Amino acid sequence: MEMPIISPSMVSYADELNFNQLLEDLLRNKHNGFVRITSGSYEGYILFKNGNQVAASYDKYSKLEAVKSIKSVIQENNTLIEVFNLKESPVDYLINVNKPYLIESSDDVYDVLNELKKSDNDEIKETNSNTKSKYLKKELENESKNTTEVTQFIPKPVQNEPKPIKRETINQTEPYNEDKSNFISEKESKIESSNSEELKQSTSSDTKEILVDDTTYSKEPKSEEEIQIQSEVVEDIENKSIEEESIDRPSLLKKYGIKEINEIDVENILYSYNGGSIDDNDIEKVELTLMNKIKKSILGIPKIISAEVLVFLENAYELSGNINIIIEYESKGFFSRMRGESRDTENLRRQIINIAQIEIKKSFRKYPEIINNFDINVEIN
Amino acid sequence: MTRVIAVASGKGGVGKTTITANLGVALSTYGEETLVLDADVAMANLELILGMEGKSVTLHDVLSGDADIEEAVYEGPGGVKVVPAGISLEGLRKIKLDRLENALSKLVQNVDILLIDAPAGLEKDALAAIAAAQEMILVTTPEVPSISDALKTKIVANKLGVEIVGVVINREMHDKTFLTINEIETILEVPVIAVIPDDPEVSRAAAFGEPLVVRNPKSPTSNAIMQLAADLIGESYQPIEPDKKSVIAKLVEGLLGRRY
Repeated sequence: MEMPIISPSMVSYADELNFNQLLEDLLRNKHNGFVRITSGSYEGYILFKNGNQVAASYDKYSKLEAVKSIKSVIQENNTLIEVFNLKESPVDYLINVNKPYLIESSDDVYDVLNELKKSDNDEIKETNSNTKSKYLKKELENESKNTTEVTQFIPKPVQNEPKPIKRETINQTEPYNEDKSNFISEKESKIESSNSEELKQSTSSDTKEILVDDTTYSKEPKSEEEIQIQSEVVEDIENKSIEEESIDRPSLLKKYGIKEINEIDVENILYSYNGGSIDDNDIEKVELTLMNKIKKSILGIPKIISAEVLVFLENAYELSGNINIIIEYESKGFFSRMRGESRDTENLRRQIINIAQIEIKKSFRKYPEIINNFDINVEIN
Repeated sequence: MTRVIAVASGKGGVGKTTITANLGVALSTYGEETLVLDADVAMANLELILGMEGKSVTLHDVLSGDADIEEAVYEGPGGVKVVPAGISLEGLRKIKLDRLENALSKLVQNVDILLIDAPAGLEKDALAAIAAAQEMILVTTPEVPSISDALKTKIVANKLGVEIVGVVINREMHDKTFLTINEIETILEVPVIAVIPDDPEVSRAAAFGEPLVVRNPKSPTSNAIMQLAADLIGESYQPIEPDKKSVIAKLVEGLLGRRY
């Protein structure tokens, strides 16, 4: 979860602190802020708004799973708990930023938190500050009773219930859910959270109100049509969430704009690796082409009577080779030779080497550095 | 039989060399005779991470034909053997990559695991390093460009007949902005074998020229790398938990400049 870097108002190891009591206190104080739980290399957060847990993450988990994971580490002595205070407006911003971690009011998360509290047998104090705390208390009381009492709390018929808020409890009490056992999967919590949004639209009161006033919805029998529509909605939502989970590879590649390398590109890469872009069979042709090109260019120099160019290529990991150039140069008169023929010869040699290099570069435009692989020798007669 | 494992990535800067160096040290601590070879002759960094720079004979000399591979093997931290690439660019042109294969054939005679730190990209030097291996570990960060390049590397490696052991996701930040583990597995079609968290300790260790698994074995990154090493050789590993200290003790240590 995205959280601001601020100083904690309280820091303690889990074994030195009653975590359940801390949750109680935060609820009572209508805490705005977050709690960071660090255990070993893993880190988790619970975001609070007005004392209510609105989002949770732990390691790679979010929502309900995150709270379950936190539950598993709060008894460990190396778990560090830090409480951070925030104002209400930053909390709203954090809720907006951390949408994937938001705990829907219909999630089973409250049960888990109750379990946390139950483990220490803490007494639940009366909190009339908000409706959610009432619900928490009722749930705690119910869980401490036997199953029969639970059935009183959630009256029959269960299929009349408009929301899949607490499937686990319903399963214990009603065989009807066997028909819909296929609904109850690992993705249950997601379905429930999504479903609650749709149901919110279809009902006049919000989820919180329904949770508190449990008798209102449970006592209202509904027609079979309504039940069927509702089950279809649940199925649709389930299908949607399954589709989201099992996103296929082509869609992912498209989503992230990743292009799959095609067979030809792979072949080209490997071809270049296996010994240059020239095939062994073509090596003689390349030699001949280079010979002709260099020779033609050299013969363009004035006073060169004839030129022989010999190219020997070696096609190893990189193309390399030797180029021997023998030219016949028109002899000068005696006085010209006296004035410094040796300098002219040296200039001519350089000129020929330059011409040969230019021809090689022109032949391998994509690999100009290949010129370093050639030894060029010039003999002037 | 010696396992020759290339650590490759496609994209540069994903932490490939850091993982190779630390993995090599980790494997050594399990008693495996491990040799780490820096095949990144153009951009050698392995010796910096392991604090072994300035060696007289390096892979550069071997590939230039000026030295034998045995002369370029050095003892590194934790008993790992290291063949540094040589940081100098002198003689880079003299290098013949076809000599790498011969060099490796000599090295495998005396070690259990040979880790090759392959250069980034798919140029000849990278391909030579990958082709010389039997297995490959693909390193990537959970970012799109990194995954994209890793995919190319994986396909080319498959063509070269190299078995992909798995993907190591480096610098994981639990950030929804980036790709999830499932998405990475789906795209690359390779299992994720380790997730290394983003850890500033890695940079600190590199600055000191000390592998992280030696410098800070309690860090999450060290634990993840040790676990990866254990998984590679079928060992079990119990993560080392950080010391439990009071907040005041930590503050005092922080003020005194001690990290652990």
